[in-house]
Amino acid sequence: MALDDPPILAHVDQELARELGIPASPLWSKPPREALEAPVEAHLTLTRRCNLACTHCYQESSPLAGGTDLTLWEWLPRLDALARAHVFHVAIGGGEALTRPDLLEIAAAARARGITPNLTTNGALVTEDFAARAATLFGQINVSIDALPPFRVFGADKATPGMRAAAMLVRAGARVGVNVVVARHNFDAIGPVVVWAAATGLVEVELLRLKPTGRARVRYLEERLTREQRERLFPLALELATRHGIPVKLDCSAAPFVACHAPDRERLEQFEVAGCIGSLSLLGIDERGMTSACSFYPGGEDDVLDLERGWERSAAYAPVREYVERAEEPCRSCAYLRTCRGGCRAVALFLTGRGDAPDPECPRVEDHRCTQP
Amino acid sequence: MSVLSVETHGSVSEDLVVGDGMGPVDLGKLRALLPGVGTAGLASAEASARPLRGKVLKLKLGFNPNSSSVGTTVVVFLWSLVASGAVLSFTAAVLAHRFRKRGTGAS
Repeated sequence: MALDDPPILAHVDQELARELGIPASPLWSKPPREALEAPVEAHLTLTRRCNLACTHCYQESSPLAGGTDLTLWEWLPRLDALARAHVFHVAIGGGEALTRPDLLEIAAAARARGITPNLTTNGALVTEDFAARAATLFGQINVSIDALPPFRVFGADKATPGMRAAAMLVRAGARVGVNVVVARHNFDAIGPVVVWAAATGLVEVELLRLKPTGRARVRYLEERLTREQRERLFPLALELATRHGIPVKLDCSAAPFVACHAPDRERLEQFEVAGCIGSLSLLGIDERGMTSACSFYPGGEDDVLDLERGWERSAAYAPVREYVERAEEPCRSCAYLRTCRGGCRAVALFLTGRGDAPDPECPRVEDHRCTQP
Repeated sequence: MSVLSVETHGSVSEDLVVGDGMGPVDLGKLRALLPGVGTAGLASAEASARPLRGKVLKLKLGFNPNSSSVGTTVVVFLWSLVASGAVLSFTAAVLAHRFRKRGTGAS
C-alpha cells in the first residue's frame, strides 16, 4: 500500500491489512511469488528528445531525437491500463520531458487516475510558471546535476540551469531532489553536490551508477567506477548524509557495492535497500508505449495497453525476473542473493553479452573470477 | 501505539559504529535525516483503544522520481540499526490512522 503524505510504500501482512479494513483477496491464499501481481511503479520515457546531448545519456537523447513519441491522447489509455493494475507511482523522464508542451497534462492525467506522478528533469526549461504548477502536481521532482560548476562532466553544463531550476522549484513549494550519475571522474565531486543540496533545501541526493547503455557505452570502460570507488560508495553515502543532514540514496544497481560491506540482511530487506526489481515490481515504458523490465534493459514489443497479459508472459523479462532461481556462482552461494539479485543486468549484458550473468563489477564476483582457472 | 517512538531513538546510544572503516555515528545528526513525516497527523488523533494487530513487513520512504533506476535511502539503514522496530511500528500506526480515517481500502 502507498501513501503520498507522508510518502510511504509499505508491504504489510494480512493481519494488518485486515486491521486497516482491506477486504481479503483471493491472492492471499496463493503461494507467495517474487514478482508481484502487477508493478507498483512504472518509469515513463515520454520522449527521447532533449535540449542537451550528454555523453553518458542512456537514451541517446539529443535535440534531434524523437519522432516516435506517443501523443497525449495515446498515453491516456496506457495510463488507464496502469491504473487498472493499481500502479502507485510513475516516474516521468526522457529525454527531457519538459520538451513536451503537454507534460503537465500527462502528469495531471496520471493524478486523475490515482497514480502519483514524479519527474526527472535537467532543469533547463523550468520556468517560474512551470514550477508553480508542478509543485502541486508531482510527488517529487529530481534535477540531474552531476557536478557543481566549474567542474564539467559528460559533455554538457547541466549544473548551472539545474541549480537555478532546483532553487525555483523549492521556492514554489515542490519536493525536490538531485540525481548524480557517478563515474570515475566525478566521484570526488559528489561531496560538494551534497553540500549544495542540503543548503538549498532539497529533500535527498540520489547517486546513480553509470550504466553502459545508449551513448554511455562508447566511453564506459574509461568512465566506469574503479574497484576502490565501488567499495567506497556506500560508506561515502552514509558519511555525507550524516555529516550534512540530508538523505542520500543509492540506486538499485549499486546493491553489490552495499552487499560487499556485509550489512545486516534483515534490515536491508525491511527497508528495501535492494538490487534489481525490474519486472518484479517495476516496469519500464518507452516513448512508444512498449514495456521492458527497466529503462536500461532491452524490452520486447509488448505494449503497455496489454499490461495484464504482458506482465505475466513477456519473454523479455526472463533474464531479470528469473535471476535468483537461475543464478550462477558466486551469486548462487552469496548470502545477499535475494536482496542484491546479482547486481545490474544492463552492466552484465554489456560486459559479458549475457543479461543473466553475475554483475562483473561486483567486488565479490571479481574476487571469485580471480580464483577461477 | 508507537506514535512517538521515532522521536526517542536518539537516546538509545551515543556512539554507534556501523560497517567497516566507519567512525562513530552522531545520532543527533541521524535524527535530522528522518524523512519529513512529522507525526503524520497522529498527534491530533484519538488514541487507539486496543493495540494494532499485524505488522509492516517492508517499508520504503519517499518517492522515486528517477525515471531510470530505483533508489533506496541508505541512511534508513543507519537508523534502522537502532530503531527498525520502532520505525515499522510507527509506519503501521500511520497507515492505521490514515486508512481508518479514510474508511476505505488500499490506495
